[in-house]
Amino acid sequence: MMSNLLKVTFKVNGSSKTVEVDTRDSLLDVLRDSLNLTGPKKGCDETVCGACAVLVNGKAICSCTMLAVETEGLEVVTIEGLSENNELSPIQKAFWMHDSLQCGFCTSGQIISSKSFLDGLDGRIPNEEEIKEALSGNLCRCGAYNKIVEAVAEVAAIQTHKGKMN
Amino acid sequence: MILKPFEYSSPHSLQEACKILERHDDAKILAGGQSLLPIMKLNLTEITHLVDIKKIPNLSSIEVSNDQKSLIVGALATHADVERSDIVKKVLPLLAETESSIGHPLVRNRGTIGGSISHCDPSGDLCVTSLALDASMTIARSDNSRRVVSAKDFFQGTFTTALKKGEILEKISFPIPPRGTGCAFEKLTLGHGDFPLIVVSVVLRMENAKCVSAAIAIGGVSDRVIRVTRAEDLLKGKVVHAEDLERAATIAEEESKPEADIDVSAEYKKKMVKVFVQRALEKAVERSNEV
Repeated sequence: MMSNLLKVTFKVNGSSKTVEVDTRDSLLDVLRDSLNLTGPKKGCDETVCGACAVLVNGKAICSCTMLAVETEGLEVVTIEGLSENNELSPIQKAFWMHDSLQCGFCTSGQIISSKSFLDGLDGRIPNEEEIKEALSGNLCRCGAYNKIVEAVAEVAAIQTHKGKMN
Repeated sequence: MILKPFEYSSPHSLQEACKILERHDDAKILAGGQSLLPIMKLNLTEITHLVDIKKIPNLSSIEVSNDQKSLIVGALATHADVERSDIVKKVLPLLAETESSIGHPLVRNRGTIGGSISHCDPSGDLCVTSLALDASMTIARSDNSRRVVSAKDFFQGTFTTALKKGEILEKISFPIPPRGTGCAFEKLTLGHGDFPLIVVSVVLRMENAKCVSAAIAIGGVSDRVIRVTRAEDLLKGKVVHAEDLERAATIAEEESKPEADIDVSAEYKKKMVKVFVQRALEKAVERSNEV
């Protein structure tokens, strides 16, 4: 059987891209192989490890379990799109300051899940259990979990404080 | 990686989608894809055409019906949408509780309620809860008509529902339990976010300490989700004591016919049915006093 090719247009990290994809291609494969965005990693390729997490319309999802053709008209943000003007985003900085990684393979996924969670808090300060639940789809074989939770808790506290100041 | 090529279409209306499904023998509906795409990667299924229904408008609303008696959830509402919905938390916390236990947030942000229910896993969390609540499924057809099927008749076997060729689950209607109803959801998984081995959902309506109606639904113990009517009948009309709950849980164990899987034996699952049903019933009785 012949493969089926389709053109798909979607926003990646703020700019519009049109890519020809095989209907079988996952979003992850297209990001990595066609768009050279290798921040999202291929770990399990079956929605278990979370290393491939990206934001689709603001929500963290596994890009291994979404077809590239499904992204037509949507907005995708990868780890590469979080920093602004060469400046790390608050959550990236917090991961750095808290030493929330060892090998770094899971880090982009952890940060994307954290970002999605932090954006959905609406000024609330989460407890530790909530943070752990929010990141429960992201595995870290090095075991940096405690420091990851610390980083997320810190950013949540800062953003709540800033929200109150405004 | 998905090996076998397939065609893809994303129609803008339910009728159009039904028609495409009718025209193709091995067509499948793509909603959130959190069950379907992993299955396709495992090469477990022959699919020649995917019909993505996410471009169809108005399929993800969450609202209370005009008569205030039911909660109506569009098939494309994601697990995260339902879990976080203030309406759901208020009128049907059992559904929010069920949704928040599915997989992990990365899955819940993408997976849909209609997709889970149509996937019809015999231990599907939402299948169990919709059976316990006597939900009804509104199904769209290619002639633009609708038919409604009760949860009891909808789940027909492993990955097999009442949906016929060319039909799409449009929305699910959950009766809102009246005051004095205690609900509970319990499940056994080996690890956080893993596939559930046993899923239990119970709905107990109490009046003056007497049980007026009982629903006990279990997943993972048969080729489909089941109701334990013998245990329900035992509780109905009674002032319920702890030993009645234990007796009901024992009946649930007796009626369960789980199969062993790669991780645990059938005997273990059977024993756990009793533990989890009893736990759920106790919680439900306690909660019926709170509302």
